[in-house]
Amino acid sequence: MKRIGIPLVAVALAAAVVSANPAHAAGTSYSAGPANGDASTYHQVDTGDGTITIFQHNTRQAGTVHCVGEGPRATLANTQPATADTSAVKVAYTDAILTDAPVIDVLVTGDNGRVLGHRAAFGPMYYDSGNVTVPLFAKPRAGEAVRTLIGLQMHAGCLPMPFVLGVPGSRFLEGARATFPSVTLS
Amino acid sequence: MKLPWNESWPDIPEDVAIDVMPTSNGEYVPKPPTHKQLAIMALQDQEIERQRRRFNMDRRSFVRTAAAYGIGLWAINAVTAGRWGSYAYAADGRPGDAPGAELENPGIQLANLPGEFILDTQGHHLDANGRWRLENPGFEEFLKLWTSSAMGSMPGVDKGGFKGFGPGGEIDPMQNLGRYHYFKEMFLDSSTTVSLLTALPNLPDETNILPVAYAIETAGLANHLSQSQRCFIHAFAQPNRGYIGPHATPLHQAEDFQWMEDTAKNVDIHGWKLYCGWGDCTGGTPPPLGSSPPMNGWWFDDDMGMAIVEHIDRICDKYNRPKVICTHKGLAFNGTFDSDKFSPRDMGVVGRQYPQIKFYTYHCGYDGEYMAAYPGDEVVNSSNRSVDAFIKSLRENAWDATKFVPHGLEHGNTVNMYAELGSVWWNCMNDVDQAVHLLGKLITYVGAQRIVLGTDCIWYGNPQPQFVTMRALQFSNEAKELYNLPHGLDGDRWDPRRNALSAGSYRHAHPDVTGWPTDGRAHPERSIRNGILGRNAAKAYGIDPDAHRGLIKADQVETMRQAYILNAGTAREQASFRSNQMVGPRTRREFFRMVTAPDYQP
Repeated sequence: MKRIGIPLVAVALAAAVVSANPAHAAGTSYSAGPANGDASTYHQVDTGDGTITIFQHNTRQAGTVHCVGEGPRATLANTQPATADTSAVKVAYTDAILTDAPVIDVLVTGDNGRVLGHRAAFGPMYYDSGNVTVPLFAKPRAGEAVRTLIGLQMHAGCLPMPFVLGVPGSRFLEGARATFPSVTLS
Repeated sequence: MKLPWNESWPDIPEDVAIDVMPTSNGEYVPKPPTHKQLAIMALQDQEIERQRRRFNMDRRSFVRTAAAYGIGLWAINAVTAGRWGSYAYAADGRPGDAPGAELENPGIQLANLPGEFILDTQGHHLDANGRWRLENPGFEEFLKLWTSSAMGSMPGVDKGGFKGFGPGGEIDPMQNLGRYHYFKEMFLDSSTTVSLLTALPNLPDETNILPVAYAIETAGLANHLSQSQRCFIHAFAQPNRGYIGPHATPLHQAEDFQWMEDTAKNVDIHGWKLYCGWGDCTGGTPPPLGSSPPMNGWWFDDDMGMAIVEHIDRICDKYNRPKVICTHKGLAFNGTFDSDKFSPRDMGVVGRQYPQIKFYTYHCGYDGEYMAAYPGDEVVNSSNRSVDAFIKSLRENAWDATKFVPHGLEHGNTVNMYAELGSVWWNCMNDVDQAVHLLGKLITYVGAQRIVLGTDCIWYGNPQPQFVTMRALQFSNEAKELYNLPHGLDGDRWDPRRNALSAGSYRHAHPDVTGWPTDGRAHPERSIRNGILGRNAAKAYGIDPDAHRGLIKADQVETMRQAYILNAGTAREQASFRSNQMVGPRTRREFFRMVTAPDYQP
């Protein structure tokens, strides 16, 4: 995939936040999962169509060593019963726009929060579609409630350095938006 | 032309032994000091004046004594101790008031305590005459970011007089970070037993700030003098030199992997140092600072990360080298690195995937956050840089210590993940509550046998304040209950519910721990504290601490130190040339005086 410019993604992301009209997450029901972020961040989930948006402007940090803060994170939760053969979870994504830093994070847990599998996909993306397939390292029991937590998350970005603008490790804007139409246990 | 000694030659500093005030590296305005910091410094200053008279010493000498460390601990204790912990040796009243006072406590002296073996897992120095000075000048800027006025200015003539001569005393400021000072700070001015000289980023190796060949010379010097192993080394490696795009093999990867193989074959390498945030978008030539953004670091769970881990696994098998990967996580270094790749979110992934490799997470993901108890998985974002993000990364891959609690015990250890405290401890040790939470949550989620102390010195000057505070930290009853550590850091590493300093813990065999001593003696070498100070790392690197300690008592380095240290083993113990100085700008005014100077460069 072609490496794309941050400003282009940022503009596309901002436009998408204003006028989102994605396909519905047919047959897959979501609830809102945990979401975090400090005052420099924005996050939103739409449980109806399975869309997550995160965004941040990098205005933290007074120095070059530390970049203290909470980057944005937002998640959707889907719960399905496992079958006797469940060994992987496939999460589809469409219209994914990610700048360099955000990741698509998929965490699969069973009863009592027992972690069954975990995998990530990385930016940058520009209206990409695909799947994140999570092979399970712990096998769920038949009928066990499998909770899939799908998130977009990124680090706490740094303030562009005051003396040399635009140096590595800092951008004025970063963000991501993606729609997750389906979660399939296989 | 004036010679510098015609002016008043600066005296060695009279700064206190444990300086807690804000400082800057010259790239940002120091934060205003907090009330706590001001109070600690004021108390320390008053007490030093009082005690130096009592000791009949001038201040310059007194601040270099063991007693000065005791006063520093007492001052931190007086201001920050309380709910979660305290520092021992000066817990009640003013130090030195009572007969047999705490200022005589061996914990503030240079000699190692019973069971103590200090293996500093993160030592640094550079080759001040290396090719990097000419061919890779961006590094000089990087060093100024870190050390600023510690370096002094470049030598030359200015306003009728010489300039240069940084506080470290060298005409060439880079020499202040060189081999001589490394050797002095580590082996003469501190309690370090063994130092791991770790690597810094850059390939090709010839233009590295610390080329492998030069590091070998340093380790050889220390080991030859001591006739034992006092120093060993890492080599730097990267998978992304010559980056040309996602899912494409970088141009120089094959060449660099071959260099790694040659190094593993020919050099006694004890591990590989990786920097995931070290980007390369210029075909292998790192750009000068600020000139071009290398936004192409890598994750351990992407194509480049997997390639280098597989390669290290293979060549370590082939040449019988320890399978140790050490990686910087945390400390964003904005302006130098691809900072998001310094998030520790991938550590749990790669640790689980390669259980046969030991992974040291340098800095534990820390990036300056206030240290508190782990707040829970739901509220932590593993993409952040923080100790909590590191813990979350382990937990979301079911690879944290709570998943490995042996039958009959209540504490576990991760299989292969080590939490390294370089810079983290230095930042947290000045606030007891933060220090307790840092260690408490790492013991809980990484394991008492998986925490290792690196000091990040020589960048921070002398490492001794870090050792003195680690020796002294005590958990409060509330902290002991919160972290299920009834004996705090004095608990046995294999079963923290037992007190390693009590003979009563070792009268009978332990039903769930094999090899449990039954000699009815205390075993301080088994304490969590001594594990953190060096024994955990020694085990991981295959070093026998007790065999080493026997050798070191007779080695030439120790003999040199005994001649160098005055009044050893007393409160008056003195390292006469200890630097005792934080050298970056300390205030807003100092900062602007520095940045408006004619030779200032960001």
